[in-house]
Parts: sequence; C-alpha cells; structure tokens
Amino acid sequence: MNEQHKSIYYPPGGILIWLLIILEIFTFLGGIMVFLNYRTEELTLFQEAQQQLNPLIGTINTIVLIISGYFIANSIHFIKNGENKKAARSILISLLLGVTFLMIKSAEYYVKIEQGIGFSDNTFFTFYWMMTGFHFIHVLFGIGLLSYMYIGINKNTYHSKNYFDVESSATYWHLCDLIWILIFPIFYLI
Amino acid sequence: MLKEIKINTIILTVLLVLIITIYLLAENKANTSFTIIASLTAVKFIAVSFQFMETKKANLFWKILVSLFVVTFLIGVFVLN
Repeated sequence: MNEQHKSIYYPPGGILIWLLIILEIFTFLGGIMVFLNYRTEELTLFQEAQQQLNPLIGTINTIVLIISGYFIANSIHFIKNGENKKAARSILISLLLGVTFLMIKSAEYYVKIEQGIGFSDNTFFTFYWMMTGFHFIHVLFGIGLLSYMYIGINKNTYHSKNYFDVESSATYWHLCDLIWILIFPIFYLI
Repeated sequence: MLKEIKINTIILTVLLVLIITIYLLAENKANTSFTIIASLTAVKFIAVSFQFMETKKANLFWKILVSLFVVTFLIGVFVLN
C-alpha cells in the first residue's frame, strides 16, 4: 500500500478525499484573506471584537483537536497491523475528543448568543460565525464518519485487508484539524 | 509500526509545545508576536499534514501542493497584516 501511495492517483486516503481537502483548505484560505483585508480597513473594530473572544478556550479546543488527530493517526497503524481492538479504541478516543471540542464550542456560542452577539453584529463576528460555524459542521460530519468506522471495526467489516474507508475518514478528520489550525490564530490571537 | 507511533508521539509533543507557545506569545502582545504566531501556525500545519495525514508518503505532487498552500497562506497573512 505504501508503494501505491507514491502514485499521484493514490495518496493516503484516496484521491477524492484529497481533492476535497485541497478545495476546502483553499476555500478557507480565501475566507481568511478576505477577513484580513477587512481587518486592515477596520482595525480598531476588529481588535475590540477580538477582545470578546477567550483565547484560552480556543487554545484548549486546539489541544483537544490535535490530540484527537494523534489518536486517529495511530488507529490507521493499528488497523494495518491487524490490531483491531487497539484501532477501535483509538477511534473511540478521537470520537470522544471530537465531541468534547463541539461541546466547548457550543458553550462558547451559547455565551456569545447570551451576550447578544449575533451574525450581523459587525464584520468581525459575521466572519467568526460563518467560518467557525462551517468548521463546526465539518467536525459534526467527521464524528458521524468516525462513529461509522468504529462500528465497522468492531463488526470486523474493516480490518488489515480492508481499511481504505477508515484511512479516508481519518484523512477527513485531519482536514478538520488543519482548518482549525488556520482559523484559530486568525480569530483568537492575531 | 511502533516506529511510526513513536514519531506520532514526538510530533504530538512538539505540537502541544507550539500551541502553548503561541498562546503565551499572543498573551504577551509583543510586536514580533504576529510574525512568530503566523510562522508557528505554518509549522503546525506542515506537521499535522505530513506526519498525521501521511502526506510524507504521498506523491511529490501532493507534497508540493500542500507546501504551496502554506507558502500562499504565509504570504497572504504577511501582506494583509
């Protein structure tokens, strides 16, 4: 399989998921660039709006998502090696960390809504809701995928001879990591 | 396999150190923070992509595409800030 990955048509996880990843990260990059362009025009407004976000919560969420990515990466090595129980356990940990991420993000959204900060409050928050919201939906979908893989491994549908779907799902999960790595410092720190 | 998991663990440790460093830099609000935060973000992106997502095993085309993306991100961020 590793030799097969050297072909342009067979990146790890499959070409379709990679095309999706390239499309998605460039779309988010476009959003980030437009956000930064507006930021230069309304710098004071953006800096004041950013003060209303808690960078510590964003940092904790980053840590949660990165650790989740670590476990899903390990699960691929376990399943390739025929260690299905370890693979399932790693996916379950990833899944629970993904749920933790969404719970923290939901709590943050709830506080913002309680404070009356909505989508059309100002340009900063329009971008904040739009981009973190899209990311939220990606993570939610990823949790669905990982749940399906977890069930599949436990039923022995996926094993060392049939793990392509698990690898594709893991690649998708890393996309969620990558998007968050980009948008977290832009909204919370810079 | 064990070797790959060991590398993953090392990369995870590095990523956690980077995340905490970025947070502390942002809290200090130093003038150089922006450049360092953007650069460390690019390093995090490369680490997750190449090690966890296994871009390192992919064809050169995908490696170049991911690297090009990171360069575009850095140029865009530095130009627009």
